[in-house]
Amino acid sequence: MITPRNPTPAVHTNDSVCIELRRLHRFFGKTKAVRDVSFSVRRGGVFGYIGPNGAGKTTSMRILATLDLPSYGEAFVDGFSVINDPELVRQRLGYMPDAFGTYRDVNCWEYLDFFARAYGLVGRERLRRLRWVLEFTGTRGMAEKPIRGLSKGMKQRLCLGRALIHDPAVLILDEPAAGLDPRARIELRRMIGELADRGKTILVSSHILTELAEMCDSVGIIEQGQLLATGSVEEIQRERKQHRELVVRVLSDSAAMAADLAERSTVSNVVVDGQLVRLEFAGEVADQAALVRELIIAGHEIAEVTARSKSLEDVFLQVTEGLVQ
Amino acid sequence: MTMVSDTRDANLMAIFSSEEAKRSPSWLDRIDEWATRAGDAINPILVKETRQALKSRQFVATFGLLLFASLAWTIVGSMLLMPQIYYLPSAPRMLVGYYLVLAVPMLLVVPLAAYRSLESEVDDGTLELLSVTALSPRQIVSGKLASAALQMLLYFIALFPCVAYAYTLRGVDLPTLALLMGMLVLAGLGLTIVALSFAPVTPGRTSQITSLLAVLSVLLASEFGLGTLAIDLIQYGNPLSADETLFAIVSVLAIGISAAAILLSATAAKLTPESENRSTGIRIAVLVHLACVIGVAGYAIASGQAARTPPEGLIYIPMVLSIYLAGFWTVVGALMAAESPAMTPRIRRELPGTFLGRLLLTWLTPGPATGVIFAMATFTIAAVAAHLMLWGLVESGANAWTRTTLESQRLVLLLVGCYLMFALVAVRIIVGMLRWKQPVKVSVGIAAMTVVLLAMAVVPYSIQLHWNDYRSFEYSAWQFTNWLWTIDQAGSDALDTGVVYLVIALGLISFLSHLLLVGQRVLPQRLATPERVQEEYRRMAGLGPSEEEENDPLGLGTHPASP
Repeated sequence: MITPRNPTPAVHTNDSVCIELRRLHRFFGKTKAVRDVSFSVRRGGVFGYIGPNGAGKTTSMRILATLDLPSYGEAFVDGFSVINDPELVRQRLGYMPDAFGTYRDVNCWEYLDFFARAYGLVGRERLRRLRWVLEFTGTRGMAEKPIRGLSKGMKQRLCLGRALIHDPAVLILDEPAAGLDPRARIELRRMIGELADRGKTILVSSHILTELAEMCDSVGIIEQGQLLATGSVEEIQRERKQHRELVVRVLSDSAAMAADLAERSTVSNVVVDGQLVRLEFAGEVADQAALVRELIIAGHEIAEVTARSKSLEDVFLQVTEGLVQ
Repeated sequence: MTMVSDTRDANLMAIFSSEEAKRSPSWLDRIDEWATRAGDAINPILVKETRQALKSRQFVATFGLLLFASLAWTIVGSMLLMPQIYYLPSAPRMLVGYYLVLAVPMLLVVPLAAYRSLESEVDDGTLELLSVTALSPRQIVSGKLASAALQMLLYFIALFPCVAYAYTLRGVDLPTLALLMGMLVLAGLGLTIVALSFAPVTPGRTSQITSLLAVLSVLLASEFGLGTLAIDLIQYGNPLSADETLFAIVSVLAIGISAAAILLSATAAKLTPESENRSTGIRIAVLVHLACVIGVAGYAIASGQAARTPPEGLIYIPMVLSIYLAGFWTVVGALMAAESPAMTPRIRRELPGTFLGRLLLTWLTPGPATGVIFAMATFTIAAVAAHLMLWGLVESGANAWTRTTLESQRLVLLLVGCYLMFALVAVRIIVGMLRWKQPVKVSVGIAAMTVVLLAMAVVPYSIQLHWNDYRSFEYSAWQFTNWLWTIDQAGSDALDTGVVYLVIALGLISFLSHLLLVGQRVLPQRLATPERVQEEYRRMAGLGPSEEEENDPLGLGTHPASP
């Protein structure tokens, strides 16, 4: 680990920020797993961390979970440095890794009980938390079953339960939906949503972008160790000056309208498909309304205008290049 | 009629249960509460490992085999001893069998299971899950050890009736029996600690196989060595006097426990992240261990002199001490010289803050620079103690041969110190250069030390051999870095004084250049712990308001995140 000449302050005091990465770097020999990644997650927010395999998501999450040290830079959880005060960070943090570690000859209740003890929960408080976690994750019926015999979905629930056992304020979930069937995914999404409603700050990575788009307030897109974009999907779109796709249904001459549109600087890729004219429009919603008004004034008989905003998938594909380290 | 009766019964039940609730807790409730509290105070790893062990096939099979083997030996052994068993002391033969039955689980199965347990935490990824809990690496290691101790206790209890039966057959006295069982338990614990220290913390098939083979070798060698000792003890009794036995027990306990503390600290350090101070604990354990070793050696010489043992009979004590010091500091010094120089704010918060603290405790600060200083300072202290012991023997009327041997030993100790100084500085420089390129593990220090020691001996020898057209040649001053040949010459009292000065100069120059290289590195400034962090630690220690109290000072129960 490189020791900075002037170490960064050990705590920060911005109360609205719960997770913060500052110029985080992590090198493994010549491989630069994480390069200059900085972002923050507001208290109670759900942040989606997206990137292809080998992009550096798990590495940065492991650093946040105090399991690895950065080569340079700092990371804070609830204001405490993951390097200098890992014990304080661990108290506030629930971590669910992508690989689920189990013990032989241990049932679900014993597994959760062990981790409750490991987090320092005692007596009735431990029992209360155990019951709540089993109830919340829907594993009450499995309490006496050995872990090794559980399905992938049940194991994921149990793993989430383990991360929640000490009632952490922050949750780091690394690919929680990987390998789950659709029903289990829906259940997991419901649980994450419920946790977010309870005020937990959640950092979640996933390959299933549609799911992330539904549950995240903001996202970070990482590729080759570099953070390419952060913010809400709309913000990223705006930052990237993304074109919105419009489909206009014209009752009059569609070719004439296409020619009219093609002359405008804000319009591109005009395609005529029978009565439908597809185009890409660069501008805000107000500009879009002005364009429709101008077309009507110009005498085009417009029956229908459909605007399709970019999905998280579209944004992801546009931001990343599909490069893998 | 039936319905009325049922209602009455239900009412009575309700009254009884409400009265029961009002009543003060029964003794059973109190025991339950006490047991819960005791369970909460126990290391969670011990609770988990015990639950696992009691359900595991390995434990059931071992326990079953132990019971079967002990029962079988009781029947077969007793039958074989018939009819002499009624009138001749027959305990030794029976006890040998019971020892062998008990030694296999105690010295082989349990240490190996502890090793596998820690290794599988790494393999299965559960060590990472443990690392993000409130458990410290030391708790993880001590939990594994406690679990092994509990299993040993169960095996021991299972075989205890058989041992008691053997005792009733006469032929082995109670102190010998206690010594035998004590030795077995301590050896089992010691081997478990050694096995745990071998458990790799990084997954990798090659390192796992290598360390497993190393552990198996150590366990099998110990099984054989201790078995021989135990069988001798059973058959011929304890050859030592009561005082000697007491001294042996105290010495073994002092040296063994302090060595175990070093191994446990080192194992815990392997599980501790680089940002934390992994070195100071080990250094303190090393100091305690060294004090124990010197104390035992000093007491052995003093008591030998008090018993008017001639110096020739005590000469082996400082000799063994010198060999031990040289070997110990070659390994430990190499590891310390290869420590990471990273000085995180977390480590700097724990540095001594006062002038006196810096003056006295800087050598315990982590890092290779202080590591070399610590190694040399402690070696010098131990060497001075060994010198004093040798001086005491020389002055106590030793004959000419003994006097010459003791003088040679003093010279050898001086030479070893000088060579060690040079080698440690070289290791520090080599590891420092490697670290420029990539992160280096502490164990690389051992490899660097091996290379340095080989180069010091082989290079001058090879050059002179080549110079002499590959014919044999006599020792000369050109071989002064060849520590093997030079020490051999010193041991034979054939070393030229000029060579001694050259080696001393080598050591001194190394030491001075190290001091110059160290510069301000050994004096890092202490960093203040932020107020909020201090508050949190106070709260964790139960000295401040809890987080809930802080969020909800009026106790209105409006904490938003509570489930």
